[in-house]
Amino acid sequence: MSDRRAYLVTGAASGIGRAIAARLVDDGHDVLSVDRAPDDGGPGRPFAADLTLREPNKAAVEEAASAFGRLDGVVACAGFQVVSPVEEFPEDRWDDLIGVLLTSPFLLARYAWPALVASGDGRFVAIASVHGLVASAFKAAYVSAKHGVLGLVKTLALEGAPHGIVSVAVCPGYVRTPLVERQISDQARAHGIPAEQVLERILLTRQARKELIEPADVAETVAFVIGPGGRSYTGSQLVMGNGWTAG
Amino acid sequence: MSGRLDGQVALVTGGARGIGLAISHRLLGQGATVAAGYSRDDVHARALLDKNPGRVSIHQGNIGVAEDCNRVVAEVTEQHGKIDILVNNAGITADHTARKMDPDEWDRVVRVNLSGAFYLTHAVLNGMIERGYGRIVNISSVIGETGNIGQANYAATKSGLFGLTKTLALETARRGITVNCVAPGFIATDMVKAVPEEALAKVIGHIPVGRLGEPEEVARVVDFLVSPDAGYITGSVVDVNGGLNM
Repeated sequence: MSDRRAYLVTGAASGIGRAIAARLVDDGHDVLSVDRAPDDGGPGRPFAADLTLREPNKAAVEEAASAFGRLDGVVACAGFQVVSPVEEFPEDRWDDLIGVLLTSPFLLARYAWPALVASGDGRFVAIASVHGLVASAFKAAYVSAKHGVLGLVKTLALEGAPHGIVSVAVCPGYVRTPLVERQISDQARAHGIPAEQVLERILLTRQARKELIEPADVAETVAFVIGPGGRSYTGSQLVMGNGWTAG
Repeated sequence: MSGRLDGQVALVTGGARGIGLAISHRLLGQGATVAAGYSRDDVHARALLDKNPGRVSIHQGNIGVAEDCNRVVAEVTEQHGKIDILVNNAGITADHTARKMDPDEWDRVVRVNLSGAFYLTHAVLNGMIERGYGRIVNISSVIGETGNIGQANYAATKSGLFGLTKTLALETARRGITVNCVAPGFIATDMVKAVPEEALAKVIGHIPVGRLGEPEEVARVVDFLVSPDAGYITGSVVDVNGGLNM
């Protein structure tokens, strides 16, 4: 797309969100890079927000609209993981995780909606996960939130269609992020095996291709769906699972 | 009495009205003791209690609040000694298009429909694990599979239940516990009958079977899933929708 558009990306200081922000900036767009701890040296215009709260979600949308004079798309990427068996899972951590992974995307859509309608070709992109489609034990909140966000994406697709708004979910498997890198060294220590064997033997046993997905590859997919080629994908999931859901 | 649920205790949230009431009746008919949760409608709850002396207890609470869930589970366990079956049926709607939806409406629906199922499961699971047996059924909706205009909150919670169901099923699979999901389509309850006649006729026009479902048709599926016979079914979503989502 040749015209300059404006996007809001959450979780933009690191990992997938940062790669998405960098890609959209490279493509010539304005990006508000929202994060709990924004990186002033990172891509896009940094904006600090605690997405567990309502007001900061609203402030982020307002900042993007006023800084850029328009807002064409929201990319909800911010997330974290809590690993615990359900009978021990702390209720407060459940509430926090649902707040960031499920409620924040709704709030962003809610507040950005008039701007997305005004755009005429608006986008709502949720970075979900293969865990939006299948489960893993000990991740009750994460898997519930990721499945839930798919319901939100579908509803927004139905509501947005008359206004030209496209709503999609991108569902990656394991991506090379600081969160996963830490798991690799932890698992290597825990199992007493070399770090290079952790991927194949522990983390990626359910992916057919035993390699991590690069954040830039997820950004590539986002860049595609927010472009004109993404319109017909509305209401659906783009699954980047390295064969996880194949069998 | 000789039913396949003799001696078992079932907690059914929203168990005094609509689909939940049909589930309560069905499980009572199989010999279970039923603890019915309700939030506000004590007329229906009391009616269920009065008609089934000694077989039913009723428990008021807001399942969107973890403390209420823990208290209700403690009450039921104290009165009946255990909980073998949990049916997370209670659900609410607060419809608006996303553009107009009050964030309070989002939070209320998420807390009751999704977090409530987690809080209650969290509270009953230790007992089920200790006894090596349990049946959990989450009542979702076809809307969790399709989305629906004006129901961003409801759709997100109902699809969220699919993820919760599968994760719990994985975690409990070797402990004699099954966790499944039932996804009804449009069922003839007060919630659906409140839809304007013209709109309802349009909905029915899209249902291949050509009519609304009856609450009992959902209850019969739940009855099977919570029975000892269904021990090899876990992590499943069973559609009961008249062919709506083919």
